[in-house]
Parts: sequence; structure tokens; C-alpha cells
Amino acid sequence: MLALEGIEKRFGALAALTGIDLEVAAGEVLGIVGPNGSGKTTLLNTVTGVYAPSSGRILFQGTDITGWKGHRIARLGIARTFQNIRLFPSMTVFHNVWSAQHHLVAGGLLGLLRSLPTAGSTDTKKVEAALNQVGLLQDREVLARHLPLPARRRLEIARALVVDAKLVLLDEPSGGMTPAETADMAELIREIVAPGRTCVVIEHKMALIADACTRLCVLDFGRKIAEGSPGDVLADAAVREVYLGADDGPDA
Amino acid sequence: MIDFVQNTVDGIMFGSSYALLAIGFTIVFGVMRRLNLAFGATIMLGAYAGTWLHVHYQVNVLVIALTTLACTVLAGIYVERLCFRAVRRDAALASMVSSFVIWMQLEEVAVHLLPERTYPFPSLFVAGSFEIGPFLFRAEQITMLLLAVVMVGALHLLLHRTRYGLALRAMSENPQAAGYMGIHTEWVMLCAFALVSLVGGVAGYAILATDEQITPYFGLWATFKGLIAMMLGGMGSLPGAIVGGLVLGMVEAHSQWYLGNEYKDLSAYVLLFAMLVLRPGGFMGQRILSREELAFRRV
Repeated sequence: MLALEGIEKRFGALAALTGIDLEVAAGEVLGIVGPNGSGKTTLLNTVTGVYAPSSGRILFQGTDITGWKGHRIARLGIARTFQNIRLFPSMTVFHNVWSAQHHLVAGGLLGLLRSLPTAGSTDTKKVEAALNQVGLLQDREVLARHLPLPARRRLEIARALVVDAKLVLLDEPSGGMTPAETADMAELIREIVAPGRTCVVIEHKMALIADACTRLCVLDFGRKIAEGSPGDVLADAAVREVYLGADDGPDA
Repeated sequence: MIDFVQNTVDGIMFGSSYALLAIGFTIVFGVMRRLNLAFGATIMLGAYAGTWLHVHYQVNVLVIALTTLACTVLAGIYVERLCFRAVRRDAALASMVSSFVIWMQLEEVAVHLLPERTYPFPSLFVAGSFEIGPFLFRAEQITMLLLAVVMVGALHLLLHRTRYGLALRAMSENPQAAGYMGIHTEWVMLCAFALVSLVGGVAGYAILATDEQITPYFGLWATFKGLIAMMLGGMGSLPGAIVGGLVLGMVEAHSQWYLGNEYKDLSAYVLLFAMLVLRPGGFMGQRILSREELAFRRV
């Protein structure tokens, strides 16, 4: 589905990503873990076209999308959420989701002048279905900035669901959440987002990773240091060192 | 009392065109957080194209009006391509400086097109005046006001009832997120420049047709009036641009009457100064970042 070949990203002298090779198979939920600054978000940014990689190739379903602009990549069926949530704060929940339906500016000059969707139209029903899936339907007319944090993260996910994205990239979906909210988010990912879709999840919280991911990839200082099933990876000595410090004994 | 009402009415009529100029600045600022200093000059160049037709070929007023609007839109697109698209996303100052350079360039083009200092600009076919009770109304000014009301109404519908409007509002709230939603932000921005140039072109045409003359300094004048009106109302706010334009028009009309012509511009600057000291956000503007917004961006 998604293949990264030798991805490197440098910011000046800083090598944020070095030689990343990664395959994401259709239908799997790949977790990307690693300490702060290990390059996780940079990796998502290169895939979604925030910036082009310094070298390497990105293939999505066989199409080379290296260096494409964000809106073109989005239209191919790659949706993402953000660690620092990016909604349209002064718009309603409904319009936030509706604006994600790539056709906002499709259809040339005349398409621009078409009116917003009316109640009962196909577009409206799709938005309502997505809001229902993430449990926000009753808040459809609320302004996004008035939502509590977990609801904002759910709203970002609804924007990915409404376009029926083939690949969903979630950047710390449980960031800033309580354990109970994290468990809800893990369930949402497992039950709603993952079925029928391919997901890449960046996460710190082991609870969410163990619950939702089928495979893990560990980054450290911009390099991939481990990859495999969650159980194997978390038992890996190198990973334990990065996450927990050197394993000196039972009380470390 | 009669004078006061008459001045207020005159001020509102002229202020309505200031409001249109301010809208041109405020939409670009609201969406891109950048100042387009060449805005007045694009209108001036469009009007010069119309004047050129008028001087050389004595064509119909309607043709001149349409030429003015079309060339203003083209000049606006030219400015967008050169100063805003080509310049890096985070280099707002570079955009502003290059728009200043393009302003000078457009002024030179106008001077080469028609080298004399002033040229006649054809008046509207509705010229004339009439009285209602003790008050005098000029038909051009009524037309100006009507045009402004129609333009503002159309803009409001465009922004709040169409897909383009939603895309533009999405961009003004979060340009990057808008891109990831599949919105072609560059295309939306180009259309926005064409749109505000059209609005500015209408305002410029109405003003010039009332003055019945044009000089290359019209660009400077339009930029000043539009910027002052925008800052009075609050940068980036559409209702603010309208209020700012009307207040500017009224203050100018009153100070011209009570203090004399030479105090007209000065009182506008004093008003702007007072506004920036007392309420830097303008009448309708928010503070640059509210506490709530900051918290929102942090998470």
C-alpha cells in the first residue's frame, strides 16, 4: 500500500531521518514509536507532503508521490490527523468534516460557486455518518473551538472517515488524554478506523499500541532500530534501552 | 444641524467606497496574514487602461468601465503571481516589500501609457444632483453607495453560502490544514486576488467617475484610504472594513466642513493614531491572539 525507500530528511545540519525503508501492507495497523525527536512526525510530514524528503522515494499504491503537494496527496486517499490538532476553530463540527470532502474546490470556476450542502443531500448524509461513527453527531452545530480535547481528536478522525481514506495516518491520537479517554480512542481505532483501512499510528502510550496495532516500527535519532509484532518489539533489548534506559537489573 | 446631517450623509456615501478598498486589503490579510501594498496601484493601472481607451478612441462609458475592471483583475493576478505565490510561505515581509516594488513598477507603466500629469476620466451616465428637503444628493454618490451595498451583499453570500467561501474561510483559519483537506490553496488564493481586485476596481471606478479625473497618484491615495479604513475597523475583519470605511468617510466629511479642507487628511491620521493607541485591534478586530486561541493551538 505504502512503501518508503531510503527516506532521508535533513534540516540544515540536522539529519531528522536517515535511510528509512518501510512497507505498510494493506489492512494492517502499523504503530510507529520512539522517543521525542526521533523523527516520527517528520516521517508523517514527508508522506503527507508537508515537505519533500531530501532523498528517497515514497510510493503509494505504486504511484510515486515523492515531492507532491499536500492537497494532491490528500486527494489520492491519504488522510491524517495532527499531534497539535488542526481544525478550523470558528467553523461548526459539521463544516469541519464537510470541508474535508476533497471536492471543495473541484469542478473549476463554476464549481466554486455551488452552494453548501442542504439537509438530506448525499454529502450531508456522508458527513452525518462519519460524525455518528466517532460519536459527535449530537455536536454537529457546535463550533470546533468549543469542543473538549478528546472530541477534537475524534473530529479530526471523522474528517478522515468522511472521505473514506485508504490510508489514515494518526499522529498521537491519544495525546493529552486520560487513561480512560485513551482506552476509548484505542477502541475507536480498532473498531471503526482500522476495519477496511490501512493505518499508521504514532504513539507513546503502550496501552494504545498493544491494543490497536498489529505491527510496530521503532525510530531512534531518525533511524529505524526495530520492526515486528508488538510483543517481539517491546521485548527487544535495543528498544528497552531507548525507552527505559540500559537494563541493569530487575529494579531498573 | 442640517450641515451635520448633510456631512454625515456625504461621509457615508464616500465612506462606502473606502469600505470597498478596505475589503480588498482585509481579505488578503485575513487569509494570508500579508499586506498587499500594490492593491491601490492595481486599481490605478486598471483605470489607466480605461482612460487610455477614453483618450484615444472615445468609446462608450460601459466599455471603459468593463476595461477598467478587467485590467484591474489582471493586474491583481499579476501581483499575486509575483509577490505572493512566488515568495516563500513564511516570508510575509518579503511579500510586502515586493508588493511595494510592484506598486512602483505599475506606476511607471501607467506614466508610460499616458505621460501627462492628469487625464479626464469619463463621468457616469447618471451624473447630476437632486434635493430632498434641505439635503443635496449627488447621483454619482448614490450610485457609489448602491454599488458598495451590492458588492458587500454579494461578498457575504459568496463567503457564507458557497463552497469557495468555505474554502477561503478554512484557509484563513488554518492554511495548512486546508491543504490537507484537499483544498487547492494556491488556486483559492489566486481567485481571492481576482475577486478583491474586482471589488477594488468597482470602488476605484466609482471614485474616479465622481472626480472625473485621474493621476498616477490615485494608487497611493487608494492604498492610504484602504489601509486606514482597514486598520480602523480591525485587520482581517470584513465587517470591520465596512465600519472603518464609513467612519473614515464621516470623519473626513465633518473635519472638512468644520476645520477646513487642509485638515481633512490630518484628522484621518489623528483618528488612526488614537485608535492604534486606545484599541489596537480596531473596532471589530480581535486581539492578535486571544488566550483561548493560544490554548487551542498549543494542544
